[in-house]
Amino acid sequence: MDFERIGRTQEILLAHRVVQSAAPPGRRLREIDAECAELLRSLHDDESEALSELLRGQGWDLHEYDDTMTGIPRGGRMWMLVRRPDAPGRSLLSLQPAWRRLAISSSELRATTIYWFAFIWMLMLSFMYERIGRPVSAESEYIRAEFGRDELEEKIIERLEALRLSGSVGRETRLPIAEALLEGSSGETTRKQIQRRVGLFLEIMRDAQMIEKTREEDGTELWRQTLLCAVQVNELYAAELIHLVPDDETLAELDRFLAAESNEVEAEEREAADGAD
Amino acid sequence: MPDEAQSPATDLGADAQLAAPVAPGAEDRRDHPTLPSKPAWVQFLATALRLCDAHDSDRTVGAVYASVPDEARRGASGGRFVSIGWALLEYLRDRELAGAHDYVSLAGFIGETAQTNGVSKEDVQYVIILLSTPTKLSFVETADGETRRRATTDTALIDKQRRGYACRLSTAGREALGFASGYFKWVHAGVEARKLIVDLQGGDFRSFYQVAIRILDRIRTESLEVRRACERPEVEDLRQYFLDHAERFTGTIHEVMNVVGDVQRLIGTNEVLDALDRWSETIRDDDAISATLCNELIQDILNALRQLQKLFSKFVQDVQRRDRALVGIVRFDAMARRFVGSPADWRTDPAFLERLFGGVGPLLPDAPAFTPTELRHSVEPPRPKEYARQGFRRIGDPLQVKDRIELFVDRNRERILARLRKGPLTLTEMLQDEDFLNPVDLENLAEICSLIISPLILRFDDVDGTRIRIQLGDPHIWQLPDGWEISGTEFAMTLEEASGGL
Repeated sequence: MDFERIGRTQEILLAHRVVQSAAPPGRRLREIDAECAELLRSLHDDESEALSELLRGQGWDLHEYDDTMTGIPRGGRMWMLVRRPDAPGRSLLSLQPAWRRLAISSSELRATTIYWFAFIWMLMLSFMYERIGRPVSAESEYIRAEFGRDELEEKIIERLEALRLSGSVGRETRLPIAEALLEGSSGETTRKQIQRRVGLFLEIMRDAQMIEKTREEDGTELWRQTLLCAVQVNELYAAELIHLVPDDETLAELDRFLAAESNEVEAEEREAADGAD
Repeated sequence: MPDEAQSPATDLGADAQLAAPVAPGAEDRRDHPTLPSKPAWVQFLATALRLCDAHDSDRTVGAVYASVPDEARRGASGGRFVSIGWALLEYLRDRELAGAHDYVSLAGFIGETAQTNGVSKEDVQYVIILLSTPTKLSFVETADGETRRRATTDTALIDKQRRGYACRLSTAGREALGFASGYFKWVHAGVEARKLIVDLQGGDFRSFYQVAIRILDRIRTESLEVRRACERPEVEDLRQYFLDHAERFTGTIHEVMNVVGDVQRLIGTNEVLDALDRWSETIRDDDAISATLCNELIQDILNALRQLQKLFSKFVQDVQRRDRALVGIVRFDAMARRFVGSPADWRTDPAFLERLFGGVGPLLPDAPAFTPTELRHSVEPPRPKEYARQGFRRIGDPLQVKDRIELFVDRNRERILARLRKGPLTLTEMLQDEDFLNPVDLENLAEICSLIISPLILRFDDVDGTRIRIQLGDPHIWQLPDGWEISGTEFAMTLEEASGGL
């Protein structure tokens, strides 16, 4: 077993998270991709297993996709590191660089930065899933998940404006997130600040391989979800994102689950009864 | 009362005249082997056209038949729009066969097609929008003596992205191409694959190529459908179909694999290779098919079959995971609204949110010190053709890190050596002394860190009996002059007698 080769592969995977053996039409394959794809293909079965176990211990699953997955060129392969639901807290990859880059002033509270991220992130996902009627399990439909920077900005402005007009901020009950988003650094969040924040958000998400810029059209940037983001959302939905789903929807989902359970039990009982007959 | 069979022939461009009800005297020309045959898509449309007439008929149910309904087609575009439409489907199919099942930008297609057909770009864009817009098809189903009115709107032939002109084939479009090129069901794939053997034995290589493409196309379509069944558990009919036919489905995969294995062996025989050579000599170079191409096609089919098999096994396993079937469309917009309106509770705790985004969030490298891999964005050594063990010297090889490192060294070499001659030079001095190496941004940091881990970059090795040594220090946090804070391990460079070796 060649541990140096395994170590090298692991290092590249951790640094880049996504590696592909062939570039999509019109794009050039990065040299690091070609090197890592070659390494991954050259690993013996026991070495691949050792690499997977090594990564699993650090909270990652190594996924491999072939060209039956949409967006992967014919004959191509793609490998990616997907964070496991039971991953340990610490990792070589962390959110700290993202928080540092998303803050628009050095005095901004970390909580404010995180609230902004979560808010923009949910609205982005509403374009990627809800708008096109896509369940989170439909990973291969990630290529349909396109949105424009301008529409994301508009949606944020619209939501914040609705919140401001509702008058719910400033009443007796404290709404920390609404206050943080509406107040901004100069007392009131401006359109310019929102645009700047969205620009930073998109850059960070791009660098983390979660979205990619497809093209520019009519003066606006068009972005699309990556396969890594689609897989990660699907894998961690039940473990993490479910906590953010409004309670009534969670209950509805629980109802559906229980209904399916009882249907299945009934079916099994019927089968057992038929068998006894 | 006029005879219904003699309703007026409709116009579908020049070729369609052959497919419409036959004019007097034309019978003897039909299916004549020496006449050029109609394109398959014209044949396909011609067979469907009368059914479309029935769908759109002016006749009301129960009316007393008195006159021929007006079903004359205006054909105002001279058959150009329909040809552009089909060319578009074939273009997307070819792109799909050549690469990804992805949206394809049609900018090039629009320009070329407009020029070739003598129409404007807007005309081509009109056809694209037409084909991507679904229309309603109503029909009646009869079962157990009862009739039921039904309708479908799954009629858009292509999927178009919301903005611009990037498209891909829809299932209906793929099916239309399949019908036009000889449709077959997956369960018939074994029989279809045997045609490859018949064609090879009969020396019909053109047909061999077409059948092989058709099979490949069918396997890939099937793969997409299986993936859809995996990912869209709410499409119950599709899921149930695969579950009910699981055994037959995998049986067909094995059957096709066996036949294709036989085909592969047959291509390697001298008889077939000789026949292929003889055949190639009789046709134009552009139309020739080589043995290599045949082999590649067969290999592609085998690979696609293996992938389909793997995907289907995954689907069968996935069915066991009941919980996956219950995640429907998540209302992220409502989630965002609820989120901003949350009162102070555990959901607004930044630590909770941070844990939550620890998996799905934008994770980025946050290593305490630089490693050669992280320097790749700024200092990227060329990839070796074959993997070789990395040596210590490789990192600092001046041939591989020519531009930036060399410029940096050229600028600062003398100053660094002068400092070294005075005594040990630490990473702290290099990073925090603003006037020394001016570490103003990440780029300069990369050079400094490369230098400290590989001082050979300075091209100072065994000079006057001295060479540079590096020593590791303790973990350290540095405040950079421009406000950034980085942490890592302290390093120190010293000038020592060369006799000690590296």
